[in-house]
Amino acid sequence: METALGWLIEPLAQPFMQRALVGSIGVAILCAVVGTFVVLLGLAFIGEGVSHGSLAGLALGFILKLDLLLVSIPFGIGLALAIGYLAERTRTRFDAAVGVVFATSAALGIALITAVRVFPDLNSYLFGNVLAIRPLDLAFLGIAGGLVIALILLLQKELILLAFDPEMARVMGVPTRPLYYLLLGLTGLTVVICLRTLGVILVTALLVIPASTGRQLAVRVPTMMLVAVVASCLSAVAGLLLSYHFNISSGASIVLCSAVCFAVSLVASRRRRASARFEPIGASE
Amino acid sequence: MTVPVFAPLTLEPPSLLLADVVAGYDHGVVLNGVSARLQAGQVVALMGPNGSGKSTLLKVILGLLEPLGGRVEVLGSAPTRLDRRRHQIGYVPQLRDVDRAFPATVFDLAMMGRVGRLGLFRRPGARDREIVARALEQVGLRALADRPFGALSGGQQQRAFMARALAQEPALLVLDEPAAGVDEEHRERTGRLLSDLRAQGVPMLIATHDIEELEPLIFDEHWHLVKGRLSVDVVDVVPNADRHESPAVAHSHRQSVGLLGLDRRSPSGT
Repeated sequence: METALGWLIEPLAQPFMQRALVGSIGVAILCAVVGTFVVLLGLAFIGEGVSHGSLAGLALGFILKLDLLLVSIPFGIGLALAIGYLAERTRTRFDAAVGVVFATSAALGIALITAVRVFPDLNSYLFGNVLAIRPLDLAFLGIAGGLVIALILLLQKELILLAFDPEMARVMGVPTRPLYYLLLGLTGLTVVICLRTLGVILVTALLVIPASTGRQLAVRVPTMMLVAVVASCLSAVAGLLLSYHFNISSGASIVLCSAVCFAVSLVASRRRRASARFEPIGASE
Repeated sequence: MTVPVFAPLTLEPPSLLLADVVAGYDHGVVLNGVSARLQAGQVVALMGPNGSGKSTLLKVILGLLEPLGGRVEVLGSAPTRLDRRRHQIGYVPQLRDVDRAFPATVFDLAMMGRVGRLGLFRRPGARDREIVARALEQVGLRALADRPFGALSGGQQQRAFMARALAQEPALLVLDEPAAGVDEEHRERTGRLLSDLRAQGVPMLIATHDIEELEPLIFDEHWHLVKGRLSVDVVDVVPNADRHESPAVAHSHRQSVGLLGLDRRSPSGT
């Protein structure tokens, strides 16, 4: 018993692990909240596009000798908006728009990185390294992430209506286009904020998997979001500990844990549906 | 171009005013000079074959499509400029495939009708919940309020959308084929519900294939849309008769000529 407790607590004696814990929980909450609407609006691949595409932003930041985060943020938001614009205003469909923008930007990133030859920390950006979180990253996560969450919660009812019935949203005078682009921009920002922890390749997973877990289990959006946050935080803590003890990439272990949560939710929702199947609806009318 | 309608008897602005409306898409004009007026408290059937421009007209009225010409006024202002009053158009879309897996209860769906009235950033309060509960009561879905929306039958879904429109506290109700694709029982309920709303003085524009299917609801006018042109058919409702007790009388008095013998069947805008 004592060793099990030690297994949980001992890592947290280290300051870098404390930062990692706070950072990954923050990232988990942020991704779950934003991911809820990313999943409801069917924008799951936007994160994929922005994260892979942000390689170019990172490379540019390195070449220009600027803070990588500072360059990546406008770059990531710009990518998300470009994808949205292509999908909405041209004949390119959404999935293809993601393909075009992400591939172009990723190619640019790879070209720049190979041209520079030495790129510090490339691995930690590709695969995520929660242990490398700086206090500055944490401060940024707290401020920007908090802002994103606040905006999403404030616009919750409009976003729900937009996801469920965009035509009705327009009839009611909801500014649907600004809202759509705002959500895209916030998604882009979220991806960049989470890059350090989860890595370019895996950042999308935390946007999509916990929210999908919530959708399996919940019949209302607020509950879906709550389930997503819980699943996401559990995965972050468990993933971080696994990463510490088995010396695996933090991004990978967090995502694997969230996949386990999703699998559990699949089984649970199937059971519930099976037990509800024989209850005729409308009988109580 | 004059609007071929009578001077309003009241000072209230018409619930809906169409003056020589031209509208269409890239591939051509669909509405070719449509004029009509829906007075406060009136119930109008919008009829016409498929492809006659019914859905285009509804889009223009709902502010989803900017007309190419003419004037549209809903409650005294253009639908695209209604701004804060825009939510006053209650809209019940045609029954269609919706995402049944969307995480929302019947109550949540009806609460969506409050979004426009609440405005950005504001959360629904006790009063909104009360209005939504009353709307669900009116359509007979109160007992199912906490069920997932996706678990409802087609007719029940249609009524849930009706509750959402009522939760808007609409000054004009627009319904697109409310009786299409639902069974007999739901059709009857819909007819009775709309008839009750008429008694409460809610002005309605109802796109329908068959006015009989919405009985006991009676209409004040039939608008026939054919090839982008509208003609108005005034139904002569017996004055002073209780509207609800004499649908048969009202129907038998249906005539195509207005009160003063003016020919109102001629296509408007000509």
